[in-house]
Amino acid sequence: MSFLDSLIKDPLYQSHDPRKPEEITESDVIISPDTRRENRIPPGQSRTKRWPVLDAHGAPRVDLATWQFEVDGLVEHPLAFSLDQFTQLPSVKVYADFHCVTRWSRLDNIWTGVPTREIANRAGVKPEAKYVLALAYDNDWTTNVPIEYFLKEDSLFAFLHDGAPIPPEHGGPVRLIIPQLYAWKSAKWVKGVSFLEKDEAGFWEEGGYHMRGDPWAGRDGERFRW
Amino acid sequence: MSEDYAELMTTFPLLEGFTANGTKRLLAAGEITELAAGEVLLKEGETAEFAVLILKGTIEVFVEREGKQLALTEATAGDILGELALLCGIPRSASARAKENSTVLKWSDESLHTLLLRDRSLAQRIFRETLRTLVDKERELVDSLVKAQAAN
Repeated sequence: MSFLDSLIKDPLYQSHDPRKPEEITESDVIISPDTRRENRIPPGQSRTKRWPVLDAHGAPRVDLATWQFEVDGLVEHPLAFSLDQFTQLPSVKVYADFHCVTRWSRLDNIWTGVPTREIANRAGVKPEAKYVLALAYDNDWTTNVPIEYFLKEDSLFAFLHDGAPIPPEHGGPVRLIIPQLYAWKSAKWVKGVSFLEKDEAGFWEEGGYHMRGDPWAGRDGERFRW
Repeated sequence: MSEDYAELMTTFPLLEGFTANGTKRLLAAGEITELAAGEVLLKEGETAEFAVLILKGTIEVFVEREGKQLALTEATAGDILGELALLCGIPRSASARAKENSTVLKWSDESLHTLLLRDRSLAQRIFRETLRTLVDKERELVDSLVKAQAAN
């Protein structure tokens, strides 16, 4: 297959220009606020039409039959869900852009999944919780997120991307999506979240990546702590 | 012992922002090697199979020309050595030996490539460091040429 063929046959390749939020006709879609910016590409980023795959250890084998999602830490009610239970929770659609710290941005994505607020409400997050540590199935990979970003209206635990199940290499069956932070905070193969009082560095953060990771901050975004 | 090095490594400017858990992963990707004073670590012209991060001690970098050794630089804790030959796929451009009893973390070619490919931040730091060293060397070379011309 030629390079061009492989592009054309890549179902995730975007041959169209990104839609504007007002072109999203479905009424029940939450519009991520950054998609309303005149320039949707954060500083130091450029648009990709493909969807590159990056990870720390490669895609783990996730057994859907035994998949479990757990919520613990500073909550009134620790929770556990099977995949069936999880996908039957109330869900939303979010229209959002996706910014990777390695300097590409994939615009125009529709995610379907369980709002992070739904999970937080069910668990009864205690007021002293200020941070969230997301845990993943790949070798206990983690990432830390300030609770105010975790609880944004456009943050969710997605199981569909543009209407199709999220492929394993992109973090399926369930991926945390936090559109307002760099994409490494959107933990692939998420298996749970823990609510914390103090910030705790996750996997990449232990290697000097930013504790918050706001792509719009400063002249080049909050990429690293050096 | 590697626990102590994990803490120590968080103080290296090259690894600014790393926590001890982060540096433990760098340690796990390599092998801690002790060098006795005088022990040769790298030999000019040899095939490059590893790079090192100096954890303790001092390593002298030198070349041999017409039977004479010419000292180029000294590297100490927190410095990385031998990465250029790996990154460029060329033979060692200089030799290096321990000036005193020293400890280094050795990363194999494969290990370093995996680290750099997975961790873009680390890659950026190491490339920056390597290029900076090269630029400094070039500047020194130009300065010594100018001096030599002035002397003529």
